[in-house]
Amino acid sequence: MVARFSSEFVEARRRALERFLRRIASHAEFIESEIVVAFLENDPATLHKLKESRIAARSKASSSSKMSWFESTITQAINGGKTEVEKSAADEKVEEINQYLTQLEKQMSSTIKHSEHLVKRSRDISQAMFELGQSMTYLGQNEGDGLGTGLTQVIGKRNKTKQTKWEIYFISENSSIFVFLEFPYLFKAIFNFSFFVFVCLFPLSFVLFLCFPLLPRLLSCFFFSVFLFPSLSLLSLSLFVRWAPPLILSPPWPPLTPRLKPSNSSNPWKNIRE
Amino acid sequence: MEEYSRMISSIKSAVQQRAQKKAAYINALADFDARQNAYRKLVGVPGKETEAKKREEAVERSREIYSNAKAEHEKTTERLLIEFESFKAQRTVDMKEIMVDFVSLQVSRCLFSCLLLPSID
Repeated sequence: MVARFSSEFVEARRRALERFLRRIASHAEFIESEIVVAFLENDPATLHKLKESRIAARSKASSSSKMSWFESTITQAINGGKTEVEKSAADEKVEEINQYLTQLEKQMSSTIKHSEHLVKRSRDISQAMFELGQSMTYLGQNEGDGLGTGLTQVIGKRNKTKQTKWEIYFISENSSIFVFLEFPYLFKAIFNFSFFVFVCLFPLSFVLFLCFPLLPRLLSCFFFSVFLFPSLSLLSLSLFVRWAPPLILSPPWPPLTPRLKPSNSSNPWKNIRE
Repeated sequence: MEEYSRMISSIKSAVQQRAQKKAAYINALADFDARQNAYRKLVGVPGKETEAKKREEAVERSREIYSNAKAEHEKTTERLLIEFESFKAQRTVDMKEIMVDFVSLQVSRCLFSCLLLPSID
């Protein structure tokens, strides 16, 4: 069953509609068509009128074509089909098109068949993996101890798809120098910058405060307000930027790819192997 | 891909329509030839002037039908060739898109597996 309002379905339909409109817009004849213009301008009255006139014209044409078919059949019967027209260059081209289409249709149906087969197999594998995961979860629940924890953890890792998708997105969207980062480089850059400024400003504010203890209280307050407050606010900003995205996203951080490998000390499988 | 099979069927129906137009054109031509021959037989025969006049009118009507059928056939052929060329051009773009989609899907699947595997020790 297709969920009509699921985001994936809506997105797929949107993409298909966009492709359809682009194709129409690139066609010289369609773009000048009154019906297309009325459809794009969302003018139902004009569209209805044009459609009716088109239907009437088509029915008239079909009746006249029936008559012409009748006349042509009779003429052919009378003439005995003796008349022959020499093959023109267009005829040869059309023959080539016909042959090409026959081949293309054959190849296309074969490709469709194989791609459907591939999709079906992928779906079957996904289903099998899901069922395997379920059975392993039940097995883990049944076992308890180290084995149970290990099995549950495997399933847990397997289910962290959102986190992995996020990483895949990040790696594919950015160039290789950012691969080591664990969330978009913009956040990382803000974090680095604000933390760097904090590291510079915070000691400076103390140095200034300590160097001039005898200055009037007002000047000390000025140094504090100029250096310390901005540095603290930048620190809080940096911390927010560092930890807000992981907290907003559903899977808990920290999940960097190289760090995903659990250490041996907390590895439940280690005990089992030993 | 399925959209492509629909497009191929549309082109095939266009080719069929062109074949129908061609058949109509050939019939009109045959009719015109036949009427002209019949008219030629009667021209100059004494006492058959009225019939010859009728046949001449029929020849004129047939000529008109023939020229209309010919124009329509040529128009259809031209249109078919233009549409086929645009189909071929569009096909190149579409195939590229399909292949890029397929490859990126496979790459993302591989990436997914590569990222997931180290997590399971």
